[in-house]
Amino acid sequence: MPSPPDSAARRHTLPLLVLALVCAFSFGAIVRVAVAGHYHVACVGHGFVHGNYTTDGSFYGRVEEGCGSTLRNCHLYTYGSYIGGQTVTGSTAMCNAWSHSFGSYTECASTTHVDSRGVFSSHVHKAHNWCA
Amino acid sequence: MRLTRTVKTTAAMIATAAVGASAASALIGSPAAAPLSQSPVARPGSDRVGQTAPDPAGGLAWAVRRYVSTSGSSCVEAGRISEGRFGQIRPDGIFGETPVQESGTCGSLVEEPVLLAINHSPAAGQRPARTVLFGQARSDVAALEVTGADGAHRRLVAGAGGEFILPLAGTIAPTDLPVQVTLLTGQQLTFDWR
Repeated sequence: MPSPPDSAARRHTLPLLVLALVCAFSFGAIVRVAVAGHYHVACVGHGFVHGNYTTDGSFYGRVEEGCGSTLRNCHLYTYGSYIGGQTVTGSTAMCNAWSHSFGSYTECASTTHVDSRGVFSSHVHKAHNWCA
Repeated sequence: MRLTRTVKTTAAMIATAAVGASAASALIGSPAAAPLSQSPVARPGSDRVGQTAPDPAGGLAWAVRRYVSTSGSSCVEAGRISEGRFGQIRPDGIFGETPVQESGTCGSLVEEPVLLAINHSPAAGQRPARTVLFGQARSDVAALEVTGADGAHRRLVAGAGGEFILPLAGTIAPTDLPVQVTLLTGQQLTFDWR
């Protein structure tokens, strides 16, 4: 005997809610990981650091000292174009390239390319409010 | 009847989505606020604008601002000087003053005799490309010398606080600017950026 339409709709509601729950959880997880990814520790802390606000154009590419590294680079890019950077040597200096040392740039479209010799190779960290 | 059920289902889905996103946020947790090994934030009142050097093409002179950070590190920052104010020249050619905050390159002059950094500034708008070697030397450093790619030796003159700066035209690889440091003991150290 065919089910009445109401019963069929109810049967579909529960799987739909489960699907919505899974999708929402995945979305939340992706957003959370993206935010966590702009500065992290791989033996030494490094990444993209926002200034007082995420929209004031003041941001840094940073690589902390340590783990035996004697050379560190932190370079800044906006919309994929190089705007400037810094290289430090020695065992205690923190690489700290500040956007305003090179001009005024859109923070959410910026990245830092960082490396620390013997600790980690060059890779990119984005602004956590990435918009480009 | 059908309309009421559709509204209820939609509301249930929105509520479920909100619960899912919140759960992910709570379960995965906040990004760890990893403490910095040293703070680059300036200790109030500790900043001084020290050694200056002319730009290779003229215009505003370069200067080093030094300060002590809240964690006790020695910090230096390269910039331009205009009527006693420290700042930067933007790509539109206009000078802008930059207050001291957390933009210095910081390190320990207890553990090392010298703090060395190079800023790479590509050509942008009216501003030509510059490579700026700068830093700070401890009081037991007798001499600092840079050897250029052309083999020429340049002696770096340190200011009262040991700060020094050398602005150079163009884009120069750090490996082409090795720095020789001579201590008062006669010991020599070479920083070859490798």
